Amino acid sequence: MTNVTRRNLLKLAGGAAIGFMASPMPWRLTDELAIWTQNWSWIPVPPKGEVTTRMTACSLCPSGCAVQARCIGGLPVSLRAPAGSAALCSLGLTGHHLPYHPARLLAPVRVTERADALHTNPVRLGEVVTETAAAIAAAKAGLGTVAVLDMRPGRSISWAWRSLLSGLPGGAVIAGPGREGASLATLERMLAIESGSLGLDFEHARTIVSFGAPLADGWGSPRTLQRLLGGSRGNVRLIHVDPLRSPTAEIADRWLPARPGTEAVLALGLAHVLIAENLVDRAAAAKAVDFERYSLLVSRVTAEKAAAVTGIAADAIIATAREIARAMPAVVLAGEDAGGGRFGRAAETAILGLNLILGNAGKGGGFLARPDLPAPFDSASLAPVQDLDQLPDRSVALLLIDASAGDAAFPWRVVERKLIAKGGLVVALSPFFAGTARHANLIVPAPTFLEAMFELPAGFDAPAATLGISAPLIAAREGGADPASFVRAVAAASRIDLPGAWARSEDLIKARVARIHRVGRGSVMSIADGAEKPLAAVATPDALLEALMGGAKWEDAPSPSVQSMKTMLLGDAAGELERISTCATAPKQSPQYPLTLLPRAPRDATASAVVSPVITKLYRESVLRRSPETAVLNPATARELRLRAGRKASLETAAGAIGVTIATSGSVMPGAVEIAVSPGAIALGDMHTAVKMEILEICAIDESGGWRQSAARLVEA
Amino acid sequence: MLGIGLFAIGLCLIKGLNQTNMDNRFAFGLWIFLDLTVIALGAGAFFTGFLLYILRRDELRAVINSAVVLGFICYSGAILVLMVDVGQPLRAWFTFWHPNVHSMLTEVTFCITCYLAVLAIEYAPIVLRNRQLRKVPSFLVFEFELHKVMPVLAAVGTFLSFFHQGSLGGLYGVLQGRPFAYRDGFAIWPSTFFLFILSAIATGPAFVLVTTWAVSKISSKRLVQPSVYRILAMVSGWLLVTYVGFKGIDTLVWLNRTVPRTGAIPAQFYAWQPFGTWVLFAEIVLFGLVPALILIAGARRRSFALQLTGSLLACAGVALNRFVMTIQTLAVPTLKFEPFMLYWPSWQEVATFLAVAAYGVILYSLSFRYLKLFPHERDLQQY
Amino acid sequence: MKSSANSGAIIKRRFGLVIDLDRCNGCGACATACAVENNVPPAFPEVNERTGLTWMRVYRAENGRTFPDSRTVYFPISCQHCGHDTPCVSVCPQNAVDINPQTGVVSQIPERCLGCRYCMAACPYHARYFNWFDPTWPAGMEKTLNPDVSVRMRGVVEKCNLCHSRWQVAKAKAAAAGKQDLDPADYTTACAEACPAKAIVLGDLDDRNSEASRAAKSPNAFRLLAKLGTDPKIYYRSNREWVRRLGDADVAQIESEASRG
Ligand SMILES: Nc1nc2c(c(=O)[nH]1)N[C@H]1C(S)=C(S)[C@@H](COP(=O)(O)OP(=O)(O)OC[C@H]3O[C@@H](n4cnc5c(=O)[nH]c(N)nc54)[C@H](O)[C@@H]3O)O[C@H]1N2
Ligand SMILES: Nc1nc2c(c(=O)[nH]1)N[C@H]1C(S)=C(S)[C@@H](COP(=O)(O)OP(=O)(O)OC[C@H]3O[C@@H](n4cnc5c(=O)[nH]c(N)nc54)[C@H](O)[C@@H]3O)O[C@H]1N2
Ligand code: SF4
Ligand code: SF4
Ligand code: SF4
Ligand code: SF4
Ligand code: SF4
Ligand SMILES: [Mo]
Repeated sequence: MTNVTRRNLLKLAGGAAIGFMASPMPWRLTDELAIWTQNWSWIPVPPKGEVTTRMTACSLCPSGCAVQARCIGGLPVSLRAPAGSAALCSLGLTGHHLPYHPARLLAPVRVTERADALHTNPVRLGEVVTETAAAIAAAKAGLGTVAVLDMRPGRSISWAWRSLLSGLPGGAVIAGPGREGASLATLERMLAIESGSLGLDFEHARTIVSFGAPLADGWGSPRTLQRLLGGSRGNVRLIHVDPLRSPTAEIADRWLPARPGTEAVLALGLAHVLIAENLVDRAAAAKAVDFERYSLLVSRVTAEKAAAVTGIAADAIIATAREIARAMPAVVLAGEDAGGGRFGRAAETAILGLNLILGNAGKGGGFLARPDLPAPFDSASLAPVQDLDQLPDRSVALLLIDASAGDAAFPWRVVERKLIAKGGLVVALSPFFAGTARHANLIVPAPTFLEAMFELPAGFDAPAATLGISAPLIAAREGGADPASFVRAVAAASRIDLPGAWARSEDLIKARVARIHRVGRGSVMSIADGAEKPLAAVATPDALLEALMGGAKWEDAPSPSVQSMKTMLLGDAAGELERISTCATAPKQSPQYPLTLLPRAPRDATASAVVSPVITKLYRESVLRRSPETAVLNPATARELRLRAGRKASLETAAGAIGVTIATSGSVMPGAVEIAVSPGAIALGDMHTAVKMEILEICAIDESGGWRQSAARLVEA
Repeated sequence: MLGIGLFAIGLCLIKGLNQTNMDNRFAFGLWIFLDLTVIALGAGAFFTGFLLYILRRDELRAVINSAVVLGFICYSGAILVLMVDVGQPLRAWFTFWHPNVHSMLTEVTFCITCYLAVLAIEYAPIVLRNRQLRKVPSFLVFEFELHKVMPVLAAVGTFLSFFHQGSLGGLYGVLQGRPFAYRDGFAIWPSTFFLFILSAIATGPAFVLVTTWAVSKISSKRLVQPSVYRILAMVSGWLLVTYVGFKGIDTLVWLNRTVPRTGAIPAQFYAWQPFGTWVLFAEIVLFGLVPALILIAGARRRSFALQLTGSLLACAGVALNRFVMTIQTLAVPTLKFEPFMLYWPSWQEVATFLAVAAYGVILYSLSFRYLKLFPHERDLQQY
Repeated sequence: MKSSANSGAIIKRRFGLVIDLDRCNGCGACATACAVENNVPPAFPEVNERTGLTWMRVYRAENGRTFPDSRTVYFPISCQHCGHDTPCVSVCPQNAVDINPQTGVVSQIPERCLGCRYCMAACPYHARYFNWFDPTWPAGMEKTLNPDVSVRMRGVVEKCNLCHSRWQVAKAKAAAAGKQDLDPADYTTACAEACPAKAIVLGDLDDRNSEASRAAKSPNAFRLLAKLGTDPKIYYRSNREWVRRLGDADVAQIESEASRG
C-alpha cells in the first residue's frame, strides 16, 4: 500500500481531471445541457393530429365574414378567408384564441368592488335567475322599468328579449350605443319607415360621401374597403370629411378636414350649393313635408359662411357639391366611429338629409329598404327597439346586457344615467369579464365565437337582408350558459309566457331558418364553390340549415325601393338646425379647455370585449396602433404647449383626467388631441394589471348622448 | 457589491435577459461596451510582455507580473460578463463545433479563449513563486520549465492578442448594414481592425501605469522606479500619436468615401443629440491627441503628474471609442422613418458589471498580498 | 435528415415579396396573420415596441409636412432576405443563420443560436427579434398553435422565414404527386394571404412569368436601403416620389436593373 502523501493526492486530483477531460463524460454533459436548452418543459408544444379544413363564419362583428378554419385534431389553429371571400381583419384572424382568453368566464359571477378594483365571486346560475326575477317583480311594483341593452340587435335571441319585455313596465330593447350603422335609425325616422330597415347599396354607388365613416378602419363590410383599395376600384369616388388625416382620408379622392363639431354646417353648406345650382332631385325633395323650411334654412348657409365655420375653403365646398351631383348615385354617410360614436342628432339629420335631396333614398347605389328577417315564432306583441337617448334618465330598474355576441365601446355614463339611483340591478350575458359586462352586478358566462352556433343577420350595409350562421368548431366549455336558456329561465321564474317552443339558442336559430325556408324567397350562396342557387331549390329546412352551417349565406331577393310618401328633412332636429344656421360661427374654445379631444378606434379594437393576446403585435410590440394611453397632437400644438413627444402628461376634461404619453403627428389637426380607444390591459389578456380610468370615461356627453368630441387640456405631469 | 452582483447575474440567467434594458435595437448595451473597454485596457498585459520578452525592455520586468494579473482579470471578467450577456450560454461551445469562419465573432471567440489560456499559464509561475508553494519541489521544476518557454508564450499571446483586438474592431467595421460603423479596409480586414489594435496597445501601458500608481497609493509603498513609469508613458504617448494619425485619416476616408457609397449622409450621424460632432472631436482630439502630447511631454519632463493625467485621459479615450462603436452605432437609425433611440442600463446590468469589477479587485488584492507582483517592491522600500 | 428530404432535384427559386405601398392602409392583418402562422407568442405587459417579436412589423411614416399637407405611408417590413453578403449570415459565429440555396430564403436555426445578438447589430432593417422572455400563451391557447412550426425558446433570435413550413408543405404535396417542383398556387405566405388590400405578392423573382417578378421590375419598384448592397428580395413599390425617397430607393440602380431585366 502506498503512502498517502500530499504529492500523491495532488497527482490523483490532476490525473482525475485529465482522465475526466479525456472521457466522453464532459462532452456528453455539454451536449445534453445544450439539448436541454431546446426542450425546456415550459416551452409550449403545438398540438398533433389530423389536418382538416372546416367552414364557418366570423361572429365577432356584424360583418359576418366567411371563415375557413385549418384544424388539427378537429381544433382550429388558423382562420382565413375562403378563396374569393373578403379577407379577415386582425380580430377575425385570431378569433380562435378567444375561447382561451384569460378574461374568459366559466361560471356565473357576482361583481364586487373592493379598493378601487373589481372582483368576481362565483354564484350559481339559479341565484342569478332568482335575483333577476326579483328585480322584474320590483319593477312591476313600481321601482322602475326593465330594459335590455342588445349589442347585436336583429338576432332571433333579440326577438326572445323583445318577447320577454313586451309586458314589462317600459320594456324596451336598446340597440348598443355608438354601434356601426346606428345613424341609419335617424334616416329611417326621416323617411318615416314603419317596418323593416334601411340597407346600403355600396356596390352600385359611384360616389361615397363619408362624414367621418372610418371605411379604412373597419366600417361596414370589409368588401367595401377591399373594393376601394384593391385594383377594382373603378370609377367609385370617395369624399371623406374628417379632422384627422386618417387612413380613410389617405385613400379618399377628396378630403375635407372640417373643424370638429362643424359637420352639420358643412352639410348645410353643401345643400345650399346643391339647391342654388339646381343639382337636387326635385321630385324626391318635394316629398319632404318640410322642404320649404329646409330651403329657407339652408339658404342662410352660403358656401362662404360654411367656409368660415368649417375651415374648408368655399370653392372646395362648391366643387364638392358639384362633384357629388356629377357622379350619381351617391351615398352620404354620417359615420359612427368605433371609438368616437355617433355625430349628434342635428349633425346626423343635416348630413343624411343630403341623401333625401339627392334622391338617394330608395335608389340602387343609395339606401334601400330591407324587410326584417322573419321572427322565429309568431308573437302577439314585442317590446320596441329604441335608441338609448329615447329612454328617460333614472328610469331603468333592471338592465339586462346582452354582450353574448360582441361588444362596443361607449362611456358607461351614457347608460348609467338611465338607471335608477338606488336598488337597480344590472345583469350581463358575456363570455368575458371585460368590456361592458364589467359594469354589471351579475354576469352569466355566454359561449364565445366557435363554441356555439351564432346567428349572423346582415350588416347594416347590405342592400338586402341576409342570414349566415357561425357554426361551432370547439366543444362549449364546461360552466358556460346558453343565453336563450337564461331568457327562458327568467321568464319561468317571473311567470311570463313566451311564445314558441324553444329551449336553447339553436332552437331559435333553427326556427328562423325554417321560417326563411317556408317564405322561399331569395337565394343561397355557397362559399365552397361560389355557386348561387335559388332558395326554392333547397329541399328542406334542414338542408338549408346544413348549408348555412357550412358557411353558405342566405340572401333575400332584391329589395323594393323605399316607398315613403312623406319624408322629413329636419325632423326632430329642426330647432337645433335653425339655431346652427342663423348664428353659425367657428367653434370657440374655452380658455380653460383649449383643446378638442377626439377619441377614435378601428372596429377590430372594440367589436369584441377582448382581443387575442397576440394583438399585442399591433398595440404593444409596435406603434402601428396607438395604445389607449397615447395622446397624439399636431407638432405645432405640442410646441405651443411645450410638450415634447414621449413626455407624460395629464389629459383633463370637465369629467376627469387620465395619464397619457404625448406623441406627435402631422396627421392631427392643430388644436386637436387624437386618442385611441383601444384594447386595454384586460382586453389583451393581462388580468393582473391594475385597471386604469378609460379614456371614454372622461369624454363629455352631448345632448343627444354622443361623445365624439370634448373640450380638454393637457398638463405636463 | 459582489453579493448584489451575483444576485443580478442569477436573475439574468434564470429569468432571462428581460432583466436588462437592452432591446431589439440595443442588442448590445453596457456589457459589450465595457467588455470591449476592459479588453482594450487588458492589452497592457500582452503588450508589456511583448516589450519585455520580445523587444527586451528589461526595465519592464518590474511591472510584468502585475500586468499579467491585470490582463487575466480583464479577460476572465469580460468572458464572465459575456456568458451572462448571451441568451443561451450553454450553447456557447457551438461556435467551436459549428464555426462560421467568416464571422469576426468566431475569430474573437477563438482568440480570446486561447489567449485566456495563455494568460492563465503566464499567471501560473507568479502563483508558483509564492513562498509556501515553493516548498513543493515539482512546482519548482515546473516553474523553471515555464520560465524557459515564457518568450514563446509571450509571442503566442502577442499574436493572439493583436488578432483579437483587431477582430473586436472588425466586429463593427464589417457591418455593411450599419454605415456608421462600416469601414473600408485592407484585404479582409476593415480599418477598425487595425485601429482597435493600435488604440489597445497605446492605452494598455497607460492602464498599467495608472493601476501601478493606484496600488502604490493604496498600499503606501513604492513599487517601481520612476523610470518604469516614464517608459510606459513614452510608449503609450507615441503609440497614441500614431493611433490618432491613422484614426484621423480613417475618419476622413470614412466620411468622404465609405459613407456616401452606402447612401447615408454623414451629417445625419451627428444630428441626434446627445451624439453631436463633439463626440468625434472628443474621441480624436480631447481624449486622443491631447493625452498623447501630455504623455510625451510628461515623460520628457519627468513629470509624473503629467504622465498620470495623460494616462487617465488615454484610458478614458479608449473607453469613449468603444462606447461610440457599440452604442452610437446602434442608436443611429438606418431606415429614414425609424426613430433615434437611447438606452439606459438596468440595475441588473450595472450590478453584474460591478460584481465583476469587485471580483477583479479581490483577485488583484489577493495576488498582491500573497504573490510577488512587483519584484522590486522589497528593494524600493529601503529608500 | 430534413435537408436530405429538401435536396431533391428541384428547380432553383429566388422567392421574394413585392409590397405595394399605395395599397397598404396599415391595417396590420399581415402582422397578426404572421404571428398566428408562426407561433409567435403574445407580449407580456412589460414588453414594448422595442422588445417585442414582430416578424412582420408595419411602420407608419409621414411625409414630414404639416397638417393638412401631411401624408402617411405604411411600410410593412419583414426580413428582407438579403442576397449579397447577407449581413446576418456572415456575422453569425455558429452558422445559426443560412440561406437556402433552393429558395434564396434566409432562415434562422433557433436551436443552434447562442443569443449573442451580433446578427441584430448587423441587420440594417431591424428584422431580427430576440426572445427576451420565455414564450408564453394563456392556458389552453397552446391548442391553437401551428403544428408545422416549432416554438422557439427564450434567449434566441428569430425572424421571418417566408413561412418556411408552408413551403415545406407545398413541396411535400408536389413530391407526393411525383412532381419535381411545387405549384406556385400551393405556396403563399400568411401575410400575403391575409392582406385585405392584396398589397403583398409572393413569387419567384427569377421567374419572368410570376406576378412578383413583373411587379419587382415595374418602374416604381424599389428596395429599402438599396445602396447598402445587401440585395434584398423584398421589393416595395409606390407611385409617390416622397415614399420612394423615404425608402432610400436607389433610383439609378432601379433603372439599370430595369434595362437589364
Ligand atoms: N408540433 C410538432 N413539433 C415537432 C414535431 C412534430 O411533428 N410536431 N416533430 C419534431 C421532430 S421529429 C423534429 S425532427 C423537429 C424538427 O424541427 P426543426 O428542426 O425546427 O424543423 P424545421 O422547422 O423543419 O427546420 C429547422 C430549421 O432549418 C432551416 N433549414 C431549412 N433548410 C435548411 C438547410 O438547407 N440548411 C440549414 N442549415 N437549415 C435549413 C429552417 O429554416 C428551419 O429554421 O420538430 C419536432 N417538433
Ligand atoms: N412532409 C414531411 N415529411 C416528414 C417530415 C417533414 O417535416 N415534412 N419530417 C420527417 C421527420 S424529421 C420525422 S421524425 C418523421 C416522423 O414521422 P413518424 O415517425 O411517422 O412520426 P409521427 O407522425 O409522430 O407518428 C408516430 C406514430 O406513433 C404513434 N405513437 C405515439 N406514441 C406511441 C407509443 O408509445 N407507441 C407506439 N407504438 N406508437 C406510438 C402516434 O400515434 C403516431 O401514429 O416524418 C418525416 N417526414
Ligand atoms: S371581426 Fe368582423 S370584419 Fe373582422 S373578420 Fe370577423 S366578421 Fe370580418
Ligand atoms: S433583412 Fe436582416 S435578417 Fe433579413 S437577411 Fe437581411 S440582414 Fe438578415
Ligand atoms: S444571435 Fe444567434 S443567429 Fe444571431 S449571430 Fe448570435 S448565434 Fe448567430
Ligand atoms: S412571409 Fe411568413 S414569416 Fe415572413 S412576415 Fe410574412 S407571414 Fe411572417
Ligand atoms: S395586411 Fe396589407 S394593407 Fe394591412 S398592413 Fe399589411 S400590407 Fe398593409
Ligand atoms: Mo424528426
